[in-house]
Amino acid sequence: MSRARELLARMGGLFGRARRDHELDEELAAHLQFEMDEHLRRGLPPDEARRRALVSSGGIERAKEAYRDQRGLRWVDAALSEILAAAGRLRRRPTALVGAALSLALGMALATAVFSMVNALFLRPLPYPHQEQLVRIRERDPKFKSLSEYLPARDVLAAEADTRSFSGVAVAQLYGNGSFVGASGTAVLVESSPISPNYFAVLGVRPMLGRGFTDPDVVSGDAASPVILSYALWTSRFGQQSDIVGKTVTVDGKESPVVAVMPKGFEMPFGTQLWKPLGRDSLERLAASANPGWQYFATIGRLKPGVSIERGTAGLSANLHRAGASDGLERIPYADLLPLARYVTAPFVGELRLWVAAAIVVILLGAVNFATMALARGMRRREELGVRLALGATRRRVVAMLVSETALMGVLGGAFAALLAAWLLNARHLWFGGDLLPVTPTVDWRVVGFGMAATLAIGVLFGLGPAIELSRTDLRPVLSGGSWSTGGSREMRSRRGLVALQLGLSLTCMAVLAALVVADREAQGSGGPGYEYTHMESARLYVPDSVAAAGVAPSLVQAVRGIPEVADAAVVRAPVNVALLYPDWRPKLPAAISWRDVSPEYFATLGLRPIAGRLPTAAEMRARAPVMILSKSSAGWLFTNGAVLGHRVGVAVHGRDQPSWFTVIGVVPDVRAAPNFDPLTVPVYTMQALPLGVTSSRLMIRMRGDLRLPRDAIGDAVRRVDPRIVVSDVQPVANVVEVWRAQSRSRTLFFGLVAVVALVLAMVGVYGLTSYSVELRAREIGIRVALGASNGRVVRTLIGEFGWVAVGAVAGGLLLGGRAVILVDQYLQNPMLPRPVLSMQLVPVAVATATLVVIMVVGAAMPIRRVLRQDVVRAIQGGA
Amino acid sequence: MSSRLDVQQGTLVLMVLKTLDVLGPLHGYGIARRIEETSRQRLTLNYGTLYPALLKLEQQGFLKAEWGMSENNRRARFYTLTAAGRRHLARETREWHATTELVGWFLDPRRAT
Repeated sequence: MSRARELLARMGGLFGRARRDHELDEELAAHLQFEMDEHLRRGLPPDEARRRALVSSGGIERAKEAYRDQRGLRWVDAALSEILAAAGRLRRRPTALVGAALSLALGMALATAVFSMVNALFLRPLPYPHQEQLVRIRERDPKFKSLSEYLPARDVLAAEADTRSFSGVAVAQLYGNGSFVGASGTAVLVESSPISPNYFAVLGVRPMLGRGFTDPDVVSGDAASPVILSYALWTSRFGQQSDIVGKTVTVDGKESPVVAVMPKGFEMPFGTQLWKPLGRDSLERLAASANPGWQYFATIGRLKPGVSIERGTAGLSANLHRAGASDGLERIPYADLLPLARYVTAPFVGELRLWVAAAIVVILLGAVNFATMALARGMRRREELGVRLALGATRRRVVAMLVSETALMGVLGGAFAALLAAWLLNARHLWFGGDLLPVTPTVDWRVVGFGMAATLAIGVLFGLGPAIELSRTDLRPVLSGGSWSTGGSREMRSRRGLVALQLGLSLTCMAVLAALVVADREAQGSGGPGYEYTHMESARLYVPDSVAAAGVAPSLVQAVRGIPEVADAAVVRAPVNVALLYPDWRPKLPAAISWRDVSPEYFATLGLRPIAGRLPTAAEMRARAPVMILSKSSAGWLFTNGAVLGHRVGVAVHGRDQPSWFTVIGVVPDVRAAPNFDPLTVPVYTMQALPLGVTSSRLMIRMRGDLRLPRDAIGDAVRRVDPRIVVSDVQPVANVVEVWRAQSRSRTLFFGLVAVVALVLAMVGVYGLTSYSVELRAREIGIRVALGASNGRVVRTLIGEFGWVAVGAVAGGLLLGGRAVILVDQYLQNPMLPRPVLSMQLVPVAVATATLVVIMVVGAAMPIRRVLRQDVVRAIQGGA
Repeated sequence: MSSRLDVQQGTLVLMVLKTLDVLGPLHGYGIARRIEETSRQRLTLNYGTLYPALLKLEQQGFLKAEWGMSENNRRARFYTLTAAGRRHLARETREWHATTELVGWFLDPRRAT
């Protein structure tokens, strides 16, 4: 107890040193005075009294030392005074300090920002109890090497029945089930998910208000089903009304009772704002049906305690095979379980790894700069270090002194970095267009800790090498005035190696970043919708199943065309983005085919003219003939020989569905769809082959000339067709394009920023290293000149030495860069989600190379010029 | 035994605590004087021994220190025994007696029997 108290008191003793010292002085002075008074009383003369008092004190300064040792913690005190002394020394030469700290801070800021994302995504566990038991259940078909993220109803039931492995299995219906909340016209489309009533229970989350779904909540037919709101929706749309549970809200045009509000941040599956109950009977009905159609389920399971992923996978696979065999199925898939935590973060792993790699390269560049500056700074202080060593300072002490300086620079760099990172994260929407991540990265203790620890570590690690090298200083030449030594050939080589490393590393980095930036620019340049959209408006439609079944699209189009300002209009069903194609002459292709089912007016409305073949005839439109129009890129991709027309192509969403067959009759130019306007989405068009219902469809409207759409005109027109249809988000296409442009520009900007930071760091580093290396040889150059070497010859010698380093580093950097571009490209390519191919961008890389080489030449030229201009004798004496 | 001794390790604490227990609040000089007198001038306490020891006792919570005025009107820092210090003194005293008794038996075996 008293020990702990003492420790606390000693820690307190580290503060208020001046006051405590003053008190000690006063106390000791009083003691001395008491003793002198005593001696005086005994009749001693004042001088003798003072002398005796001083003798019996045993040395006042020694006493103070001993007292201070007891007052604080000796090692902390020593470190503090070391750091204070270092701060004092650094303050006298602030340029080097600021340069080094900034070098480090730029890299670390990026790293800290990236780390905060890694932290938000991967290091914080999912907020569910025993989240390690939660798995996403998927299916694998080894014969077709396919992996399906979603399960058909039959297999969901098989998983439910597997009570040996799972304590619970829950489903959510496929994404893309938007719900319209609010009255038509002012409604907003939100992500909604029909879920099995046990969904929250399996995850282990409880609503913040109200209760979870129960089986009686499941309604059939067109009746309004109860809903659960997300915290965000409850806040944005309903102003956090505390009595919302039990009230009704308008969802898809129906008055639906609210049974619960979920806690803040819970939006499973991704981004869900509204949950509806999904009945077990509908699963059973689907499982029994011969043609389950589009109904697939995102399925999660909670493994029983002690059941491993492998055991669960084997158990469920066996179950699927038993059930499949008894039903006489031809192809039975295997189960594939993935920890839910990994599933949730999977889509971001690729891009994030790339950022991490970028951050590491930039940190490395910064750290090498930092080490160079520490070394150069130390070299300029060789005389001072020599004197310290000569006066008896141990090598350990000199190393500690130098390292405490670099550590301090590191900490300052860390502080800069934390500020910059916080700013980067605050401006995140600027870089990442807002909703890139499913979580909000924040600066928490882990992030700050990471930033500080990493910069401190770099400060110490990259300061230690130079410090040890400097502490080996040979005293004789230093103290006899010949302060500059060229260093041995080993040191020369290692310095040249550092120059080469910096040059090569930054060129590699530049090559990859330039490739990324250019690919993104290309995506934007060729981007946008791909049709003339200045006079276009678009709107979203919610069409209930019962209405859709009646084939409502033609009347919708007609009603909208009836608005005087409207020139043309078409309805587009929400695209099926991942489908299987069965061309009639080659095996099926799983692809990011965007299957767009449109009303026949679509092509005219968008102004697309066939570049081969023809558009459907009026008779084909009326008869809903099974015809297909390809886009230019999908035609090129599918039919390499160009013989497109007349072929038959089957389309299916899932491997086990029977494909629907269409005949290709024409090819139109490429069109891209919001919100990403992805240039490589490959659309194929069919005409009203799918019902319009449930998912969010789109209304495309071309206006007459510059006329604007009157308020509520669309809402009124649609309501006349069927009041149950909900319209939302009526806006000019140009607005959507503008939002997308801003977002995609920001991503480019991010990579561009990283590239600029990397280049600046490389420039600083290359300049510093070359000028430092040349400066070290000032004495040698002086001697050469004194011995009659011409200036030209000196310059040629240096060029010869550094020229090879530069050539080697540039060649290595470019080769490595080319390879890195290919690797990154391979890494980013995803057959299900194609993106532009990365390629080596010669122009920006050449500019970067030229810049760095020029910087290197300037870095070498400045000290040479100084040496050649000045008095040779002084140079030899070491006054370079 | 006429020459002055240095204070034995560990015994100073006991002396300081006992001095304050007997005399009440005292400044450093007073404590030193009293210890030297009690030892009949055979112990000598220099500043480097006394003040770190006082500080340590203060840090451990056995003493409390306050500035005050001395009898001859000089400002000085007065040390007072705390309740914890009193308990500590009792414990240390017990232990000291036990130790000296034990050591006594070794040095003079007749006393042990």
